[in-house]
Amino acid sequence: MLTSLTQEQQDQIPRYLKEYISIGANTAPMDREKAREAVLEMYAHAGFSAPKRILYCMNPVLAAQAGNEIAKKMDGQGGLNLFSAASCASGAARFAFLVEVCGVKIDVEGRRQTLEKFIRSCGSVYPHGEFAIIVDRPSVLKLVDRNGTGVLHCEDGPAIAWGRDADGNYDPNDKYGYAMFYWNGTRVPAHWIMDKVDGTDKEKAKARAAEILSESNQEVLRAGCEIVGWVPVLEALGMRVLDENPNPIFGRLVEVDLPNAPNTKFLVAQCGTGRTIAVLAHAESTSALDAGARSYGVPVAVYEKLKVRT
Amino acid sequence: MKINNEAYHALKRDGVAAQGDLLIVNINLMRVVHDDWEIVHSADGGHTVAHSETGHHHRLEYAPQDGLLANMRAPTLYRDPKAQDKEMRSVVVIDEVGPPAQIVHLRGYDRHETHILPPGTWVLLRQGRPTPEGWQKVTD
Repeated sequence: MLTSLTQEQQDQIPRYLKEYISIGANTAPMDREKAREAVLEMYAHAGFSAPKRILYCMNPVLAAQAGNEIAKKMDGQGGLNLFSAASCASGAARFAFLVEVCGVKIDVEGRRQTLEKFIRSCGSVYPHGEFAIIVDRPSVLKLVDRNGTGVLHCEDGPAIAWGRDADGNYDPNDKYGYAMFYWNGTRVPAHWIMDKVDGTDKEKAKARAAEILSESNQEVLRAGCEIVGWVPVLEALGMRVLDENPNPIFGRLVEVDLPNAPNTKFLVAQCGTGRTIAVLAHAESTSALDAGARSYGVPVAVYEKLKVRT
Repeated sequence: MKINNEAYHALKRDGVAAQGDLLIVNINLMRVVHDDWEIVHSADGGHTVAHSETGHHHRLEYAPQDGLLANMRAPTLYRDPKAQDKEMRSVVVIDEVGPPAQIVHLRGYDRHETHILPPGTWVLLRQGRPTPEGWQKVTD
């Protein structure tokens, strides 16, 4: 049994990390023939007969929808999950490292080889007993590093997208394509990225600010404010500072005029990660401290004891 | 056991600390009667104390240890069965004799630091916001 790694073995880890991360982040068109071989082998390894039909699809959303519809018509069921190549890459990397570098003998080497073929040939597969839908890789994948983790982020286009032109490059007009927009790992509406406000059109800036601050998901709201800028968002809505606590974790109580809700109060404070957050405050809040206490349903006397927020 | 965790010492000293949109308050600072609340069962002693729409949950974790402490009780999580949103207010009891439990934010980036909870009874409060449908928790 392998219980420790030699220095030489440890030195090989970065190479495997790099190789398999690049496999997961590959945006080249799928290799249909290799993917077909891999999928047929996967069915055989699992003890299933080969699917009667193999279909190909340009994006995973369409594949899941089509797969579920076909499956429902065939057997009244659906809801199968896509088997993602990128998600399998980390497991394949561990297997490869143990076998190739550490000399570990496994009794499923054939399955490992099939997994390798699968992750290196396509994006995902929708497996059904009667058919399989093999899905292309994304044609766009933009990541930024956040504390050693790659997160989806792009400031001027989709962070992940499917669909290609005749040359295999991303084509936003591909009718079989699909695009998703992310800001530091948080999915945001496409127009927040593709139709940014720049301050020259005050009505547009106001409408965008109102849309962002009306977002119920705190992460999406914060991402929207980061895209436009916190101050422009709040100033577009005529921000008035009602109270500012000297402690940034308690923050400021501000008032803005949303289109259908004038004098709406927000608590704007710093969270433990150093980011700014804005939370809709109780209408009767009289100070930042009071708004914070009300937001958690605790007395001010308890809330003001707070010294550590991570 | 020496514990190097800022939130742990804040909870012991001040009785209150916050991890993102989750506020942790010692029950002695608040009137929360949880005698008739239900105990939330868990196979591994852990609980998701704050769900996240994006999967970045706040998770109460507990690692039973070998030896003398192997049979000690896992943290007990209580929730009000009558509450409209049971997650808005929970109570967790950490065994007095065992190692502390911890609340971990499951996110690889922009992660709120882990809170180690000292023994005692703690009220876990989700941050809320006014909506047309009433007071609702802040989602993330």
